[in-house]
Amino acid sequence: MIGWDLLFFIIFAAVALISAILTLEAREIVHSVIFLCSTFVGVAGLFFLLNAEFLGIVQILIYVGAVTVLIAFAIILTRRDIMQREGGGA
Amino acid sequence: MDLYSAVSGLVNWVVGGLFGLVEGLGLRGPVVVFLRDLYGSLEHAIITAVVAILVLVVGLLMVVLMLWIERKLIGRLADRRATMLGIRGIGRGTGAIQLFADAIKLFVKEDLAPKKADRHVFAAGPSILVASSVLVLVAIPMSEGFAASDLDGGLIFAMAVFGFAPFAVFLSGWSANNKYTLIGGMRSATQMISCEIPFLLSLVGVVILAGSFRLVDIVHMQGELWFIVLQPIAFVVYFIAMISEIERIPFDLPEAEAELVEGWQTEYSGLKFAFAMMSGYIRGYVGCALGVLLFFGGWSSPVPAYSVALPWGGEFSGPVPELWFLMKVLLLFMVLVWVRAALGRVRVDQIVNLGWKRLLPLALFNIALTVAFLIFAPELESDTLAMGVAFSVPSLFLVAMFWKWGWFR
Repeated sequence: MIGWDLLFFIIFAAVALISAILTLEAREIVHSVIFLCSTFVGVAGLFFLLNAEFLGIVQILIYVGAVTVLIAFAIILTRRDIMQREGGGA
Repeated sequence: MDLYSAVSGLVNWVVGGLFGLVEGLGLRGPVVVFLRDLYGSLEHAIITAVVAILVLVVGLLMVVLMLWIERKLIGRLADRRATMLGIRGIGRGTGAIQLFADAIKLFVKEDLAPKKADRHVFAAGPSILVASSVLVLVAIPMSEGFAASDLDGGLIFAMAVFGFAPFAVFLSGWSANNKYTLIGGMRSATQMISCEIPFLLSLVGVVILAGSFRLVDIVHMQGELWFIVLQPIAFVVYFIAMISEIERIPFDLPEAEAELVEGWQTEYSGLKFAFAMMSGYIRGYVGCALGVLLFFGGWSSPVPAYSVALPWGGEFSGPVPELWFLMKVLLLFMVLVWVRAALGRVRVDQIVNLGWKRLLPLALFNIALTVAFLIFAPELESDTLAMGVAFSVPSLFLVAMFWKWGWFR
């Protein structure tokens, strides 16, 4: 029988790792930011598992709050068709 | 009594009864033994799930009640009767089943998405919104026992998850591939970065006085004197920033229906629209609940202790604390409805000015005042009334002077 701690550790670690990879792989810059946010949530979950509640909470509070602003800049500073044209050839 | 122990007693009673029934019928064997072992290992998970469902159901019932109150009250404030729909015998003329009619309508509507929308993000937006709104309910205790969790950092956890929503709003606004939704999403981000910081800082004074982030401790500290008396400035800042966070009418720029059709939710239909709307009310409930916990004494009774002997024996000493809590939350929500009926929408530049130039300095000023009083007059902590006067009178006086100097214009 797998312990609950190990199970949740695997889940959170998988979320963090897979979304970190997808952050780099995504074509659309907004998708990258979404996966970045999901990475941060996964890391916050790991902090919760390690009984570092405050650190996990602050991770969510600061990083996810900042991610919204990051998306805003991603949208302001890029044009969708340029991204698609350049990404399409690769 | 603790919520977990009550639920575990109930679940164990039901499951034990089921197993007793099975064995009474003469069914024995490896399957029954296996099921017993399975229940033994999953017991904790099952109890947690039942508690979570219970807390969720309370939140959803509050949403229904708040929607009904909002419709009727805003109708009265606009000098009309609002919805009157009711079945004969069940709340005729009260609009009691209007909400169910609306819910059924939204359930059966076609779920449309724009052709060029980013489908996955378009679907994820309302999901993240609802999930983050409902997650805050976990951190909110309704009394000492009725709480899904008792985190040491409960307050800051609620704040962190509460701040999730602009992210989801932004995603939905962007993914619909529509200029109005995108503008709505951008406005949501603007509003969030200008009001989130005063929102958080307004709580610092309360946390300094209570000496804890645990909501139960904060409520216990208000046993004799509510923090609204000690922290009037913090409450004003909290209330304004909270309305901005839950995007209700003076600050509902992201869905300004006069300018942006329906703002970020323009392209949503059917259940996704229902989710967007429901999460708005859950956030309203959470904002009011946190306001009550921090400034209005939570579940403590506002009337002095009394007890009346009942004719059928026993004593009545006031309703249960959960009921006081919910009544206070609904009263605070009624103030929100009143504000909605009374005020018009502000402009984007006005809300940025309000957040950075008015609320942020006021919140910082309140922190400085709180710390200064605790440094210069620590012995006041024993005498609550004197403490209240010493806190609130000078702070209100100073704010009045700011007003007189034209700082708010």
